[in-house]
Amino acid sequence: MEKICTQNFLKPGKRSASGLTAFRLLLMIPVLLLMFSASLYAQSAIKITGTIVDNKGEPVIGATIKVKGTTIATAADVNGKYTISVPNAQAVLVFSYIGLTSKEETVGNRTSINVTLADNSTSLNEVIVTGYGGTVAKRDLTGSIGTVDAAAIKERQPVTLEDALEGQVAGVLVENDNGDPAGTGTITIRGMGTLNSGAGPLYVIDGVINTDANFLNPADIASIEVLKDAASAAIYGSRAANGVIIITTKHGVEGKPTVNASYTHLWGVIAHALPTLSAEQAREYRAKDKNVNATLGGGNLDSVNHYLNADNNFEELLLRTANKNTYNVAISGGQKGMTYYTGLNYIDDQSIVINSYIKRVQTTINVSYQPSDKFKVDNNLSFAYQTGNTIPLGTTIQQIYERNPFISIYLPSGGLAAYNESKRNPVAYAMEQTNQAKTYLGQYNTALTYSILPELKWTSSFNIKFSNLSTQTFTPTAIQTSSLGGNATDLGGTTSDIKVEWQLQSFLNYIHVFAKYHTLKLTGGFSRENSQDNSSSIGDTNYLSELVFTSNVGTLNPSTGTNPTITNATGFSTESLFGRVEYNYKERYILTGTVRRDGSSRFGPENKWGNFFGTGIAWRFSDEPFMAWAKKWLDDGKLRASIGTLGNDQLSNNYAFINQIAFGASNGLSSYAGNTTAALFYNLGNPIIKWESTTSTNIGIDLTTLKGRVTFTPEYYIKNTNNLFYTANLPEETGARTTAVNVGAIHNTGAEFTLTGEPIVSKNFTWLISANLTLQKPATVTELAGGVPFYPTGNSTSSPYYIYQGGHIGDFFVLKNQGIYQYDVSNNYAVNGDRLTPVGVSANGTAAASFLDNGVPYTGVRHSLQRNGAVLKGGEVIWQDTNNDGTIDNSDKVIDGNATPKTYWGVTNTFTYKHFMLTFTVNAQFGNKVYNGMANTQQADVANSTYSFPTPDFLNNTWHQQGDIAKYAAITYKDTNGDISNGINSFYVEDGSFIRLASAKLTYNLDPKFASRIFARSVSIYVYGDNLLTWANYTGFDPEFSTLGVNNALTPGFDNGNYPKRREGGIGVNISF
Amino acid sequence: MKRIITITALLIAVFIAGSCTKDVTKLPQNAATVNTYFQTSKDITSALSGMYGSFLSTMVSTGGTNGGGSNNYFAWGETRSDNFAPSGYPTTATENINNNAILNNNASADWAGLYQTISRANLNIANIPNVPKYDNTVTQTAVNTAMAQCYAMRAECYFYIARVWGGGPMWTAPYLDPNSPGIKPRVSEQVLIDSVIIPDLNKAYALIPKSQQPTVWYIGEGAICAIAADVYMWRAGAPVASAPNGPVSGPIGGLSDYQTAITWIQRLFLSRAPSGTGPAYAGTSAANIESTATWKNVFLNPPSSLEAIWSLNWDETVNGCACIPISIQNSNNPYRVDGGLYVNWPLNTADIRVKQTFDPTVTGTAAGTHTLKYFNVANEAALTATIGGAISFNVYAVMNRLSDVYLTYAEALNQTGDLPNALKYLNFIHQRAGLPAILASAVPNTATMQAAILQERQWELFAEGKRWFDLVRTNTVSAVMSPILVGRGFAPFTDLNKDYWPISITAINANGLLTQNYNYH
Repeated sequence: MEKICTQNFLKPGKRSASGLTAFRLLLMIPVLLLMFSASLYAQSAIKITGTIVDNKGEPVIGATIKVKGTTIATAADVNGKYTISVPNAQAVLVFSYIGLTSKEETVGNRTSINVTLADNSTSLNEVIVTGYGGTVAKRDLTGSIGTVDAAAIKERQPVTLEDALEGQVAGVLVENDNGDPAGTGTITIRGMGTLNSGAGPLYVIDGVINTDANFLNPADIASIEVLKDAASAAIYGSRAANGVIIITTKHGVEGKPTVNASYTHLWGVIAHALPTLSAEQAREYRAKDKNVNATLGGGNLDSVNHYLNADNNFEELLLRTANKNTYNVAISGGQKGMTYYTGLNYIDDQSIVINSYIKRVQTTINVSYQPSDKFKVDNNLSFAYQTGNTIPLGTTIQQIYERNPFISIYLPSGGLAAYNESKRNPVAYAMEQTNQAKTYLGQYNTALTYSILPELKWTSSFNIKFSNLSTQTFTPTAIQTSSLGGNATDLGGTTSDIKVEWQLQSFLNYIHVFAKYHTLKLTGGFSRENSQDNSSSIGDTNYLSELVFTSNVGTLNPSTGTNPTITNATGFSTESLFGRVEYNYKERYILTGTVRRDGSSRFGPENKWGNFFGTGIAWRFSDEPFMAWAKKWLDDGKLRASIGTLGNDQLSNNYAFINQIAFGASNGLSSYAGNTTAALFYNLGNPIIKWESTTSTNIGIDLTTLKGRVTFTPEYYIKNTNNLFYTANLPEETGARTTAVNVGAIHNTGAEFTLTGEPIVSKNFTWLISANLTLQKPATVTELAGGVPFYPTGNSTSSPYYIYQGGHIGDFFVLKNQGIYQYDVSNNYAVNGDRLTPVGVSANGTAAASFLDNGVPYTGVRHSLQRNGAVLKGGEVIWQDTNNDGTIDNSDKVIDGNATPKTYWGVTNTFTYKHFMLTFTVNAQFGNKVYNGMANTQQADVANSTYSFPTPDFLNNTWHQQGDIAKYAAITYKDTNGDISNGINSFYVEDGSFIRLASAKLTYNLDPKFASRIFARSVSIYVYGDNLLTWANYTGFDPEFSTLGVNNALTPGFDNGNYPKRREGGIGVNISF
Repeated sequence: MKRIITITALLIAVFIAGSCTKDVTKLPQNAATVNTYFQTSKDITSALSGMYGSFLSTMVSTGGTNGGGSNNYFAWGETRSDNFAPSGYPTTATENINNNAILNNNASADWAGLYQTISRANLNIANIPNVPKYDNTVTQTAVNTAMAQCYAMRAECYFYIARVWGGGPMWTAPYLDPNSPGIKPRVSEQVLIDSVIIPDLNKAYALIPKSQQPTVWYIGEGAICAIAADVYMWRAGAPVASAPNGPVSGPIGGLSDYQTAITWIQRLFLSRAPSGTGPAYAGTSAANIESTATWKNVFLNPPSSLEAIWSLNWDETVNGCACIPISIQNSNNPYRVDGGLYVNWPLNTADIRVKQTFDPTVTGTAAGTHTLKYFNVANEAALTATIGGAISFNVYAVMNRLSDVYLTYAEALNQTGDLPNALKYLNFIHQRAGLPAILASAVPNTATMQAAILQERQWELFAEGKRWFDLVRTNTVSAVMSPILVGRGFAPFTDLNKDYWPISITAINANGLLTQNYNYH
């Protein structure tokens, strides 16, 4: 191997100009000019001059001008002007520049040729990466692939990949968490297709398979391709069932070094603050609803008592204006046989909750070395480091809305009180508690490409990724308390989670064109993957110093309980063989087929291997002779269809196939009488567990009209997941609790529409629009284990979700809240279940003269509803007695709404006027419900505790006495008769629809003439904003959030009080040299 | 061209070598597998710990303020009885237990913890005999000792299932393949007692090496006998359902069971106590039980107590706070000592047990919410002084102790007509408490003697998970509980089918062959 490299390096083979990129030529210009200019002049050369501009009229600095079929070339100067000598009038000049569509002009008798190069970003000639060395022109796709390019990313100013993708691709639902500085979000491609873990897409970053794309700086991304259908993704067989996101990072190009530097500063405030009680209102509540004595604020207060006369606005105390600085530098360039790209990014985000911040450094180094035409080495090195302090939401944010506003949060000594009237002081928790997470990430990838024959290329790559997430937590004594109210000891811990993953890939790509019009591309190869995860956690108490966090300062915690001291290890490996065939005839009939065979260590010997197939066809009907009549307005029309099967091996446990003897804490108790426990693991191994597979069918049409100015792509898909992974409950009497099984099926279907257009393109003004719309149905569970339904969280009583055959994922399963009984006697029902209207109600509300059933006097048998064994009274919730048995219980729960948006869309508009450019993206979701768990929990807290406070809405709309018309049950009833029904109360199922001005950016590009005075190639300054306007009916912070935790695929749309989103505005400057 | 061929050949070779699929197999890194375990004496120790740990966490557990929870030692044996009432901070679940309104979603209605313990016992029984094949240092005696404990533990778990639900599915072999049928119908209480519980106890007794000094945290010779005696006492008196979901009727057994209980207790007297080098329990006098001065020793330090037989070990450093629902660690326990007992027992000022059981001087909402019995705390005032340290107290739940056996013995003797000896054993306990001896004239017949013994048991064994079963066994639930429930505003306890708990909805959902208990539909 080495010998080959050396030979090639020493004796570079012949190279033809056609094989070189424009940029390599650019580099060679001085040489070429020296070599050829003299001789060319001798042959009655014609001297041509001209100016090259883009479609905005800007000079294209550095554009390449080349005489076709020769090595004569030059480049445009800073004014876009060029001069070139051509041998004769028949010569053809080729004008090109990266990102612009090349143009050819025959010289003829002209001596001055001015050209305008059009932007090619919306062009169908764009090359799409399909994986394993495969690329295809976008116009030749057979499957469904959505793309986002560097230009679009740049306009969005994203921090995370989720930002970059939101609202950009049809069929890709991004739930963004852009308030939380360390937050990411979730990406769901074409609906939820699994019941288990591994619901997220697969990320392929520069050919390397990843389960996430965290710590990738969006500014370093050259392009994102989202493979939505099975035929496209089938080459990634295993784990591709939920779609594949292929990310290609930027590489350098040969030529002078380009330095791109940018700085942005962003301010952010809470986007949607919720109302809280003032001190005055809080006292009113105490007196009116809690009926407690004066010392607790129920009556007249001692007006000189500091402690009782505060007026805390916790929102102001806990939240602040966020400040975020982002610095980004990228240097790229190259010389003959070698290119490089280095990106460095630093973010310092002081977020909206006091004491919460992150700092992140990311760097990417891409170096390609090509000693000969045949041999190329690509090296990629990435490093990231992030540190930050996260604020525990449960003890801070949520508490804003239910803490006592009139009790001082400070101690007489001036320090922060740990407790604010028997409840945690959220300010003290935010300030005093340490919750620091540090992440180190390093990745090295090297790929060798060797052209064995001009048509046959071999690529082999090795990638290793190391990451370490370490956290330091510490709760000082000052804010720790024991259950009896005194100070308990401090508690801290250090965790470290080290992951080492490596991948080896080797594949061959073959391209053969025969009989002029037939193109055949073949790809075949194998890959191996290994992942190892080792974690450790050290817990301490009784710290001798609260300034030092190492374990020697405290007492080591045992292996169980809070902050235990433990280590753990797990790992998996896969092996794959894959192949792809692509054939096209005249680019009119296109056929692709892929096959992949995957083996995963997550399955037992019998079912280790899974085979996955995909095929797609496309027919460019616009090229057919019979379509000639439409040629004038239809530039390109293609019909495509694909079908394929994909796998998923992401079981919740890497060893679900084998019976394990577990030790220590996994057995419930880690030891008995000093001896460590060993027992059969509660998750019984299933030796026949096998691949979950998703078959998806896709039909789409690609239409390009109006001379390429409008493209329109409608698509329809059907996605069926079979052999669903599911953690089945075993009968308790077996002693085991669960086992992994393949059971059931999920059906998803939807339609997607993508439209891009250039309504106005003129010298000074252009308007580009890119829009996508997705219509989908919530995933339907078509089959379940023996038809047995289950509750994803809790049991039949407590679970707000219910998964049953024929149901949908994300269905809310709740008791229907129909209001509040006005009088005790209002709880009277006719035999048929109609609620009767009492007439002539007595003063005490317990008796009525008569009853009306829908306005008609009713004298028949009446009954009253009961819950928890008691008859419901005035001021309690009117629950729907679904089965009309007179008792409100589990069996009255109904499906009330679904958390899956039925429709979502995104529109991005870009306006350019001379040097100004305005881009904005609007996105929206409709038809989904959100469970406002935070409000429901607050209500439950208010019911259970004297010390929690309700919302202002509650204060004004609660029931106090017979005859009150109210929204909320009387708080004195607490939850005894289930009036709160936390988590299962339809009152809190709210409309989750929204329309959002997700981002906007106004850029001023400095005239290159001025820019060049400071030796810059371009300078742009911009103002921009994120999450600027939102229209929503939701009463919580925001209807858009990602659902975290176990089983998150099954529990979407439950808002437990997420980090509130922020509205952001910022300025930035971008300079390139 | 030649070079191209060479290179191509080379590459293909690399390609094939790489794809030469080494089997993609990974084994767990933090666990052993069933096939590689049970090969050393350490494995036996750990597997036994796993079994005991499962039982412990079923009976007593941390964070028990939510009542039921897995603090089943109290839920099953105590808090349904006249010993406890709802405090000012009950949960729906705990209140329902107190008030005979138990729902099928009550955490303590779930028998999963017991079946988990049974499955661990089953796995041990199937595998421990093979250990000597791999480790020749493991003696047959060691194997027998381990096997005896597994059989006895299985019996104890099924005994709870019999008493709490009136029977359940019977599993006597480990369940290892989830693809084999995992659902079985329930068998009746009688079948459980006769087909598993008694045979297992007989096997355990046969296997256990005799007259060896046991460790109090593990089931030894004495514990096997004590459990067996309890089983026969239950069999003799408790009304049981003859079919799993049928109504309860009379007891299975009768007089002969009392006789068998006596036999087992006499066997127990021959076995050795865990403490020190002393002789067997003997069971002949008050000298064999703790003295008046050291009464609390058996709760605070069972290994050193001469009357300890089997206690559950709690290690706060590993298991966390033993925050049992009647503990001293929490200010808002869901239960309190029932008002009747709280007022009446302290009237007996000579009884040294009262103030060591709870602090009768506390008034208001905290009255009776802290049971001091398991803790080395003199009174509520002393408790306040231990703030911060309270969570580090261990709770050693007593499964069996000699005082309990004495009273059981007295009861069995009484039932079989030996009143003088019954009174003798009753008085060992009664007088140890600082009370004057009960005169034979005060307990002239079996009924009065029975009542006196039952009263003594309530005081002596308060909060030891016995009271409810005593009430059921002696068929006194209705008489004792009805006035209390009526006083709390609930219906009297007339339906003896409610002696049983309902089958948990979770268990029913997972096993279609289960039938709900009679009158719980």
